[in-house]
Amino acid sequence: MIFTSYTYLLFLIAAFLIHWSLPGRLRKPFLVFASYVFYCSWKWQYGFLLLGVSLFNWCYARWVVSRVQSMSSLVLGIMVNLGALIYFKYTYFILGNVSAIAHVLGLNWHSPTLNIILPLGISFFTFQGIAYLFDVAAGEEPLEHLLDFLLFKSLWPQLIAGPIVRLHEIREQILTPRLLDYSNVAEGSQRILFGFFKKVALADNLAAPVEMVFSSLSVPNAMDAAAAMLGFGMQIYFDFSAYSDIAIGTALLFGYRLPENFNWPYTARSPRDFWNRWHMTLSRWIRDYLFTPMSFASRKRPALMPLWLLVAMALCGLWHGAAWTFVLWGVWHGLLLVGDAFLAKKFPAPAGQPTETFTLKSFPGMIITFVLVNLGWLLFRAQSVKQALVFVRSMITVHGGVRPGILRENAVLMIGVMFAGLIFAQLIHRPAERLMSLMRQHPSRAVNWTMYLVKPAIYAAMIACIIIVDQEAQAFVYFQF
Amino acid sequence: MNTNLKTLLSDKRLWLGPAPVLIVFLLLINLKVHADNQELERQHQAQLLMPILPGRMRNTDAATARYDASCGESIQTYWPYIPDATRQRLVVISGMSQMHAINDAKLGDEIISQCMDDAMMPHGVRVWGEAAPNLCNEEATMQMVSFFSNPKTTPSVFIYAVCFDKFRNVDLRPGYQQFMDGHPEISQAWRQTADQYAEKYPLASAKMLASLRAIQGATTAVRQDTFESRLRDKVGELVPLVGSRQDLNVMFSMQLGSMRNKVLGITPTSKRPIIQSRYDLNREFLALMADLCKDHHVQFIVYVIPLNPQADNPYVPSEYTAFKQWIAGFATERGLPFANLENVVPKDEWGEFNGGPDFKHFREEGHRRTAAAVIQTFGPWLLGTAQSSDVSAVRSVPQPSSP
Repeated sequence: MIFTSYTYLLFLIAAFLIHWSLPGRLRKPFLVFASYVFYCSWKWQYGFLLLGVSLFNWCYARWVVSRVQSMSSLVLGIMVNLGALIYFKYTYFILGNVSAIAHVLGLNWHSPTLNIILPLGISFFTFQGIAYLFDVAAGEEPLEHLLDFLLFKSLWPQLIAGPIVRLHEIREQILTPRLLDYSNVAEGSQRILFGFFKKVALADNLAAPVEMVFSSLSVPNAMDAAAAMLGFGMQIYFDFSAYSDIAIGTALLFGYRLPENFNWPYTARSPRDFWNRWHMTLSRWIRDYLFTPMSFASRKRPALMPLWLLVAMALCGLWHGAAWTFVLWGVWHGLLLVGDAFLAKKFPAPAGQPTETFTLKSFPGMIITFVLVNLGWLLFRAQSVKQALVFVRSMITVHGGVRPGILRENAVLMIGVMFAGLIFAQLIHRPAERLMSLMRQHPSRAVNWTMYLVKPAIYAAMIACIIIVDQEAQAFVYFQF
Repeated sequence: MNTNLKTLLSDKRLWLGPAPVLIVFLLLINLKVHADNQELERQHQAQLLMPILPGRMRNTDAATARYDASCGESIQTYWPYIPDATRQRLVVISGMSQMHAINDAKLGDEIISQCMDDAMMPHGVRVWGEAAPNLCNEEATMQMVSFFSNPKTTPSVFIYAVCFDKFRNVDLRPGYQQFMDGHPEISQAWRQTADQYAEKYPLASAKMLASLRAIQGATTAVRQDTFESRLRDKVGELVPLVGSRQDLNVMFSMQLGSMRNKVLGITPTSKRPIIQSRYDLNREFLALMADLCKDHHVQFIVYVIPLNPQADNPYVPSEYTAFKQWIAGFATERGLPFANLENVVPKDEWGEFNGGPDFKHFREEGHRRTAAAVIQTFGPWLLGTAQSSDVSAVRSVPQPSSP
């Protein structure tokens, strides 16, 4: 069930009405049931996998980790969680590499043919499970009731592609009755609408030209390569942030507030700033459960810190996909972060960093970060490292001139217009927020009336646009992870 | 309903907030769409360059169409009415919008394939038209694979009207994707063809496999039998905005296009240079089509479409000249009957487009004249009486005269 499908909207409306019509004590069981219906609608057999992993984590945290309260008790728990992930996601990758090594060594060994289908969301619910065990080992109280844990683990808005919710972020919400509040419903509906718009009107329309260049057998010229790189940078942002918007909006409709996942990442002034704005729940996970433990273990040898940063980011890349291109993408970001840390040490920023999105001072950093991040997307999207390098070479040498050789001029124009729109949105979002808050502080009849009409008019235009340009429920990019 | 839903419904903010106004706006939009339904349909037809006749909309009676009157949007509607090739000689003529567009259309007007069918029927030969606007060579290949997948639809002759600027296009349109998705035997033949020619035509083969992956990986875009697609259709019956979304999409795209043209000063005759990788891909597809026909013992015939001698066109002259030389050489090399019919239709048989002379679409007279030229030029192949030595004789092309 894709978030931007009519089926999902029907499911959401039905779930909303049933949930809030039920007596309070039945709401949690209903949400768990609805979450499993949502998950099993894709492949029902994997509902058992989710249930099995959930039961294990709940039992293990409650009866082993919380009693032993030591990091050593974590090992088995982490292995079980990772075991499922490794089997489903990395078996082909491992066998492929073993086969390649055997070939190099002159051994005649071929990897067996298997038919493993990657369960949706396994990367996300594995990380959530590991975080839960870690937090309990670190002293956090485990969830006592199975139902609470099942809800924490399977609540459908965050199940497939995050945000990766941690126990402390949602414990109180799970344990206390949720109330149907107008402001939550209004905000949730608005987030869902924005998510639909970003996915259907923007990301899906960028997907076709990007795919065309990356899947072409021809060498892209400079214009094709640049347009595809820029197009993919926008596509993945719109796509994934749209998913997060719909997830957060959906949860709000049921009274749960999930953590934010994006904060205008392309206004980042440095690679570090980028990771504070991009897939924020994953960045925090990597920092807290990977980088910090490694750094802590070698705290007497601070020179190793950059190495741990590289390792953590390489694993972050591998988490995204079982291919060396993803690992290199992670390493690329690791290098950027190491360079960033080095420069920050050499040239410490003066006190009182600017908080505005755009200032003259922050502009060069923003442009450099944007270019570096987008170069990284080439590794992320390319089918091979060689292909990514071909793209870079085409752009640097202005290979084939600046007239597109694969894309039609319209596609290049569309990418350009969307990019201009993104820059415009980044420029105006803070002033617009300030203006709105000013208007709320100093209400006047004329302004109220204008807003009373303008807001719904914008929403209506967005809904009409979504319906008209809809390419009929295309899967989200992050589903493959 | 418990207190919570009641609480929401009794919350003043719900009724005084944007929600009711939004609902009113959406109602107004739907009313407007409902009122403009006919006009939207007409614009959609215009976009497909279907002949627009007073009081006649799309969905020409399938049983009497004699060509794909959906213009590529719904091949399956007309597919069952292709004359049975096992019972008589079948000729398929394929091409782009010139094949079905009629400027200043009148009731009773006929298009090229119908004119040819009228002329050939007494000789025991039936002619079927399979065309779509902006048809690219991958789509023509898909037509060919589909025709050849069943002896009843495998023609004796496949005529392809080649248009230079269609070498800028790639990809299968949704109507073709749906057709392939609904016919596993065609998907299979498509894959087999891609595999068979992977070495000889690597670009075309890779593209075919990519198109197949896109179709098979699509969630609902081309799937007609999913819960999602049925739900959309149901919602479409109730909500005009959803029901007319495809027509609205066309109108929206046209308006975006007009806006682009105004801003960038683009006119119908602004030069459209070739896009090299697409051009190369389309050339491979054309060669693949020739091989496919040879494999299936189908006579492949190629001609360059007529152009309005009066109108400027968007082709870069040097590129167009090179293209014509290439295609003539290609036909010679492959031993294909070939003709350049560029000058067959005289200037007064065309029509107007966007206030100027239409360079590519003619009135009904143009259809009759082109059909006559095709029959006159390729007659022996259509009738199945041609000798191999005839190939060299078809270079002399009939000049404009009475149709």
